[in-house]
Amino acid sequence: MGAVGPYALPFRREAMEAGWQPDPAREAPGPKYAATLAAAYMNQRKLSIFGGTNEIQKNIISKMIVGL
Amino acid sequence: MNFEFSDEQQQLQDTVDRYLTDRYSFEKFRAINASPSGWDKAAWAGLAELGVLALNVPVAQGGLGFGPLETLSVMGACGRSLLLEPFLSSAVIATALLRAFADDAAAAELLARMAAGDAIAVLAHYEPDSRYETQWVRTRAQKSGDSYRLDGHKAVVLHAGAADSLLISARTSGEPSDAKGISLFRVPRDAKGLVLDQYPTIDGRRAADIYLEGVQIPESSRLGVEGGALPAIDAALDIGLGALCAEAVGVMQALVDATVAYVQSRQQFGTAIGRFQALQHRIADMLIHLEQARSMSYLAALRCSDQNVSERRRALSAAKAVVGQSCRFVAQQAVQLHGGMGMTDELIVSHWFKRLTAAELMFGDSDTHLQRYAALTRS
Repeated sequence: MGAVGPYALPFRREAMEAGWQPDPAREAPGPKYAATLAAAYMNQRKLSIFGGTNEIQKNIISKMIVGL
Repeated sequence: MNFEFSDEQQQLQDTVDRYLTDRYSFEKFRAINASPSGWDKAAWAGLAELGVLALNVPVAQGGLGFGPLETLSVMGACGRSLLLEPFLSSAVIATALLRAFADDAAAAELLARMAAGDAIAVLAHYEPDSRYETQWVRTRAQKSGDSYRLDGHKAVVLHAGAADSLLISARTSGEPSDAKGISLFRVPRDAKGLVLDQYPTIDGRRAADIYLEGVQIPESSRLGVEGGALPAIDAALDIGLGALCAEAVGVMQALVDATVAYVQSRQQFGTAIGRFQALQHRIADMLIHLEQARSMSYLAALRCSDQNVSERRRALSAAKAVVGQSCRFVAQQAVQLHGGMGMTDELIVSHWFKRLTAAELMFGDSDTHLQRYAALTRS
């Protein structure tokens, strides 16, 4: 998101669909790959939560592996 | 240093705080967000009635003649309530910009209407390849006779669709990266040849890319001298940056409060999760980030209208770098500590997260401002 800067801000629902193409009649509002970056960033918040949060995993590591 | 609001500033803060708490609930936010226009005329009229839209308008144009400190005192509540209306764009940035041209009769008249809530103006300045460089302007204004013809493309203009008037920068001479040669024009949003490609932003506001395709405007629409508009545009954007820092602090405070309440009530392993030291430390870190950001937002408010440009920009870059880093930390940790709930659309936490993510990217991200701070410190 930092790389595309201001163009991380637009949220175009239609851009989330596979095969989406920007309007060819005009200079596109930002690079095509920018359209889905913010949504991906928000969705990736789940990685440190689901299937046992990072905190739970650390509890397991400290108990089962380190033996504290 | 002792930083305290005056009685007047405190009163202003309390008034706006109460108004938004009573009249701009999360449910209201969701309803406005789901509406086609993405903003609410009644809420805007309510803000006008409180006098908040007149805050930055000079007394001569029927305003209150206040400045950044009073703006700071209301921005926190705007952030916490996730205000979707164009307060920052119109009542702060465009107002600050028009103030510089208040000797122009049309600009003065527009200011008076903005103070009363009868008109909305928005600055359209950044372009697709300018990133956060304000002197990069490729849009051209060509003069013929007593009119100008505008051609170009303005990027991600917040609240463009809500505006009656657009304040559009265009180059009347020089190369795209020259600081000189940039002029400012007042253009009606429904001008012929002006095309708006509107979309919501990630935090639920509305923005647009603006295509100027041979827009004809009279010479009298130019604000100030030809080619000399950049210093006024920079000054207005810097005032906006100061206000954005204060808004972000309001959101961060709300997120810290919500997270503290959540870890005290959420039960796991037979106790409230707030009893676990790992989470207590995390919350302490969130609070430290919040307080650092708050201090820097005060610095930004105190310096954002400084006439000494390099001092002003140094302070603002320092502030935005710290506030931006805090935005990211506080937002990410708030979601993490709320667990899966923090990602849901039904909980306001995810919307605060999105507002902070947008705030970090506006007017330059943390990396940009760290670089600027370094460059200004070396020189």
